[in-house]
Amino acid sequence: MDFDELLNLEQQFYQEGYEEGRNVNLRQNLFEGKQYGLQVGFQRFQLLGIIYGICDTLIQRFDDTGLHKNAKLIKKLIEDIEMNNNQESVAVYERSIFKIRNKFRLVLMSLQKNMSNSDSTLDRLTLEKVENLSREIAGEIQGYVEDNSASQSEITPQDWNTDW
Amino acid sequence: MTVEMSDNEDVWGSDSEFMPGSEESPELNKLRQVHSKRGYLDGISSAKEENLQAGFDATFPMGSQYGFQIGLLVGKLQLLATLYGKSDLRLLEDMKQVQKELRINKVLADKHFDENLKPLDSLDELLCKWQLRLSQYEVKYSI
Repeated sequence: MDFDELLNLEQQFYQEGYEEGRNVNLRQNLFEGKQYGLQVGFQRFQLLGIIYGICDTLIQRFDDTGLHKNAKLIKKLIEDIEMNNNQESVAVYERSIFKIRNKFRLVLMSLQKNMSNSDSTLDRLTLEKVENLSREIAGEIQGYVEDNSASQSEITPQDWNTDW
Repeated sequence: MTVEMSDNEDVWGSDSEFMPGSEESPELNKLRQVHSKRGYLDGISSAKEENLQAGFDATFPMGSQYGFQIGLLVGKLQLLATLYGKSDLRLLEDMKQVQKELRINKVLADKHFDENLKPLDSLDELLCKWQLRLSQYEVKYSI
């Protein structure tokens, strides 16, 4: 084997290793990205689902013009938020979430008024209570969570950002 | 970037993987091992954070749909529990239970996804179970 052949072999082996190493990391990165995507999507839309579900049932359950108007507006605002991470969709979400929260507060006040008419012993449903429920379900997590039926405390505070 | 490794660290496990046939000489095998290893480490470094965003964007919609679907279920149950829980202990109990079973770490769990993070039937079964239970309460309370 002459020097050139040796050099070519070295280069060939290096290249084979390089491609393998690169592909291993690309696959790993894709997997990690998918984990984050699942989590963040879940977290962002889970509160919206709770609010939408409450509004939906309230519209069917109560006959109150003000409540209907605000609950329908909230549903429309939520329906207009597309479930993807496009810049435009994120902008719509950020623009709407403030309004959704404020309108939802009004809806819950209307609910309270309607409930007081029938049964004053019922617990009050507040935005804070709904947000606590949301945190209980979606938590704030870092990394991919494993199923751990023995513990409920594995959700830990996060400091990562969705916009890499 | 080059990462130095000592000879006894083998990122691939068995050396024999790189012997396509017994005719390869020990010298050639050693040459392959040394340069492939160097290339492998450079390859690992070269990928950096490539593909993270692509992965994120690929599953964000699915995570959103699961989050929304679960939120919807939990929200409706919460309202029913607020309205009727005082006289319906089973409903209150289910409200507690749903918070355990549909918690993010129970839903986005290994057992519900394959190795490519595609959801398995067990996840739909879990959601169907709670959807059915909600429907029963909606019938009961004429919603």
